[in-house]
Amino acid sequence: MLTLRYKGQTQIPVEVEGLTPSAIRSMPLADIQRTEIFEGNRKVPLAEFFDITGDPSDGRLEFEGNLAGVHWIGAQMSDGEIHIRGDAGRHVGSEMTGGTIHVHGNTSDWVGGEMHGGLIHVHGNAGHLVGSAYRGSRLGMTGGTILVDGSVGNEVGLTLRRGLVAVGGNCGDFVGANMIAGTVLVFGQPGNRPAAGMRRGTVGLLGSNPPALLVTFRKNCVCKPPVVRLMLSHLQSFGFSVPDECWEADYTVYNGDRVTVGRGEVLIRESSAQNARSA
Amino acid sequence: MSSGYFKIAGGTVYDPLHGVDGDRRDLWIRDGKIVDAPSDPGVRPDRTLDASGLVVMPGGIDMHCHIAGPKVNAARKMRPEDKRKAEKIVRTRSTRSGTVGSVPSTFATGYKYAGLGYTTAFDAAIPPLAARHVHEEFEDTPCLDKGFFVLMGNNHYVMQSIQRNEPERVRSFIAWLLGAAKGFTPKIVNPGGVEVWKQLPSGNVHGLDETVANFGVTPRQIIEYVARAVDELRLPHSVHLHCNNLGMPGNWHTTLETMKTFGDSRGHLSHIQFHSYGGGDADETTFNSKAAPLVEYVNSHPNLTVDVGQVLFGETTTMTADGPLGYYLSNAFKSKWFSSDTEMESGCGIAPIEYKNTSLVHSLQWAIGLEWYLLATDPWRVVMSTDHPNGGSFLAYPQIIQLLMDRTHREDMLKQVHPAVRERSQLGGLAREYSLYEICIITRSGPAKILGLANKGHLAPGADADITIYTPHDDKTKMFELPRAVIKSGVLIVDQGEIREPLTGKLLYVSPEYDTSIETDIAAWFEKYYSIRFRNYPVPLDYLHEAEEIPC
Amino acid sequence: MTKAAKFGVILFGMGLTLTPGKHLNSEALLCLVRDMNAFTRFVAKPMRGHGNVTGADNVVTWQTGYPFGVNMSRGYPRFNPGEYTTSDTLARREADAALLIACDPMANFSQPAREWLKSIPYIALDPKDTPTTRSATVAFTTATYGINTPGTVYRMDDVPIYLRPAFPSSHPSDFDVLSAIQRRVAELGR
Repeated sequence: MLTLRYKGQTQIPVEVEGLTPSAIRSMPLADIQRTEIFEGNRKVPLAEFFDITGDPSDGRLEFEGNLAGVHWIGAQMSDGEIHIRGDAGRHVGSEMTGGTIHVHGNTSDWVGGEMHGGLIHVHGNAGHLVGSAYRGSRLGMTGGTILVDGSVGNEVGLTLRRGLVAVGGNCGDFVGANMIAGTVLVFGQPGNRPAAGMRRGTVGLLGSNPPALLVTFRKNCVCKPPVVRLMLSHLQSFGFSVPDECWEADYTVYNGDRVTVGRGEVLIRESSAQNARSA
Repeated sequence: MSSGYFKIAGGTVYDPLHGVDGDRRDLWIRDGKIVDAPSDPGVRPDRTLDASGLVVMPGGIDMHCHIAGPKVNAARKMRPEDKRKAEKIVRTRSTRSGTVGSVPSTFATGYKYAGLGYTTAFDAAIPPLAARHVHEEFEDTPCLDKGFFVLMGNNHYVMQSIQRNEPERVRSFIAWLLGAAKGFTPKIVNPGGVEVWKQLPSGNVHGLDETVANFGVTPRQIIEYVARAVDELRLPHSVHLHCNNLGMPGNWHTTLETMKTFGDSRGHLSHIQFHSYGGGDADETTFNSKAAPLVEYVNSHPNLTVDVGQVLFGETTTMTADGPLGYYLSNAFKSKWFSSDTEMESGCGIAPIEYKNTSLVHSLQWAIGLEWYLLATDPWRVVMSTDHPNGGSFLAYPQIIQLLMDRTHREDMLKQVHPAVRERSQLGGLAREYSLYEICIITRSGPAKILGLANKGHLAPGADADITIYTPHDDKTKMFELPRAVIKSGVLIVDQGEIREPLTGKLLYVSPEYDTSIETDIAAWFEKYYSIRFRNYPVPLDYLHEAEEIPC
Repeated sequence: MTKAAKFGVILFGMGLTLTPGKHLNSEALLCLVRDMNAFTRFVAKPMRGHGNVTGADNVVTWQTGYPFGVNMSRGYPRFNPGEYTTSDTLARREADAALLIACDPMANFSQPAREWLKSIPYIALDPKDTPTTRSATVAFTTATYGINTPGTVYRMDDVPIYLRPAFPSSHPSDFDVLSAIQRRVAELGR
């Protein structure tokens, strides 16, 4: 295990892409310390911002400290394990294809941006655009799993193509916007206009107080889809906490978004406080 | 004591205009031009580049590409994702940064063309209302001499004059407009069709003799009048035409009819590959190549020239003044779409697309382009292009060269495309391989001649000292991707892949004479219809960085 | 009604672009306009802000490939609105200096952005006195483009228009000031 303790005191964004378990697995410590990262427009050796100890050959990296100003941690990684013990910045696990990242803290925006595989588990809150496409891309995330125990911002799973995103807390507006396929599950309070522009895929609003859907969503039926239990068990296997009420609840299934292909589904958990409107 | 001479010594020189086919000889350069060797043998050059064993050609000329102006800039804005993962152009002490992808930024465009050994490029389609914008972008596109073709095939003044049967007025207007915009020749795109698109939902024309509503003229008339005017004005380059019905199965009929419409007038038909299709209406199962009869017509009619518009597999961005075509493509590919009308003059459509070797249509398009090169008997009249970026990026030109020079490689690629290509085109049976001499013609000497640029495309004294030096290699893609050196206006601008001196380059334009009394009528038309003032429209010469007028 | 129009035009502005939904509102509108083209001619255009905004975005686009929010810290252009845009960079305290040209963030930006801007050294160029110039470390009064200095502006529909000055000014132009700063920075070797 290689430990990287952050000692940076800068406001300027620190960008560390390229620092992945496989990239440094066989590097001697001295070379790792000399690896160049960026502080704004300055190239600096890694050792200027991190005290580095240990051995990377088992593919495990542990970051410690307040890394809210450090970005692209785990970007494009293909295997190995990263633990961040503290907050992390933007683009955590961006475009990764494999491996695991655990953030024992909060992340900023674009966690898992255009991810292709692997697992990211944020144990705190995340920012906007979790598991989303970057601007202009035809496709977003194409595989993998993102779990956020806390709350997230807007546009979770924007243009999602495949994969699973689950949010234990609340989410902002436009969850699953322009989704192509894949699954986004929100266990807390969602924001406005969920699943706007959805083409296919599933958005599960499993909280106790879901909002109104756009008028272009049509109510289909109320049922207990078997897939819900499968999804919940799957989430539990990661240590993700699933509220008891979700297992036996009825779900209203809505289809949409009918401004576009409209073969997606939004599942809304029936509860005594539900007030979802249908077309 | 500086002699001012730069010598390129002992290279294997190709200069098809003068019949030089791989002769070992020296080139002497002075004051930006190729000159005779100094008569005094005691005069030493300030600098000598040892080119022994290296191939020396004139600088490349791309006579049909889309690199500047409002439509290109809109395409740049639309494609952030295309650039995010593409090569980054990092700034250095002497060069600016930029982005590539299918629509590179301006500095990147210049450096990348120069990096391939190109020293001249013409933007194929500019609405004259945006001429200033183009000149500004050109000033930021280094290392190349540049010019542009001025869109006129859907211009209201042109159509009205045709309707009134006033060929002298058409001629005077064209001359005025070229001088006002500082352009190079009239460009006609889908004549009449873009105007119909601007008037009607999904509007277009489908045949040469359809009448354009509100103007009462036909595409055939537009082509005839403009072609005739261009020849009367003795412009260095002929009228440059993008035929009606681009991309439609069965469009070869329109193309053949269009070729006949020229009669004996000069005409250049651009990206001819997209206009060479047999088959029925919207019926993919009958789509096939009709390159052969069209090539035969061009072979036997020396007044006509073409550039191929080769398709290469991969993602790119289509951008065209053919508004209805842009709409059609964006619907066919379900992609983003930008469309814009230019008042009085033109339109445009932009849509990202991907050409796939698993697609029958795309594979045929790829094959048809190659058929054009391989069936043509006169390489001086069939120019290499991809209609950058519509068929593919100019960065892929070396790949086309390899496909033309290496039959085995071509056969290998043919095995990887849709199998129906073998029945629906002749490509499988074509064994011809281009020589370096012929490649030199289709990438520099031919375009220079077609454009009427007497000082380009050759290496005799008097020519602009635009020279590319290649290291010979069996893999022709490698050979043409990385020239050993590129000289522009006598300055070594690229040395083993590195930009040494990015100069700005010149703007090449024409300014034919005309009867200035027409300006009263044009000014009145402006006041009545245009949203900008007549006096603000022409681009003055002092607006240009460095310009050269090509005489008519 | 929209289908019955022969030529529909929608001009949209901050009511769409700055209310909840923001760029997704714009996207929804543009999708509607695109769909309308199957039935009739239909176009849409965003209104632009004051000053030569369209000119700025055209120049930045052709030089960098991206219209705005361009980050150059790596020596090449990067684009990511929400990360590299000015209001975000300031609000997150990620800038340590600023150069502001003919804009007024001290009047328009969010509270966190303004607070941070006030705390860092910044240069402001503007023909007029504004909250931004008043709090600047260095403020230049510049000549007004199009009134005192010639040049080309781009109309909101991207048409380039040449402006001829009405009368001269004793103040330097933006171009003069920026060129001088660039020369000085080059001299200082950075």
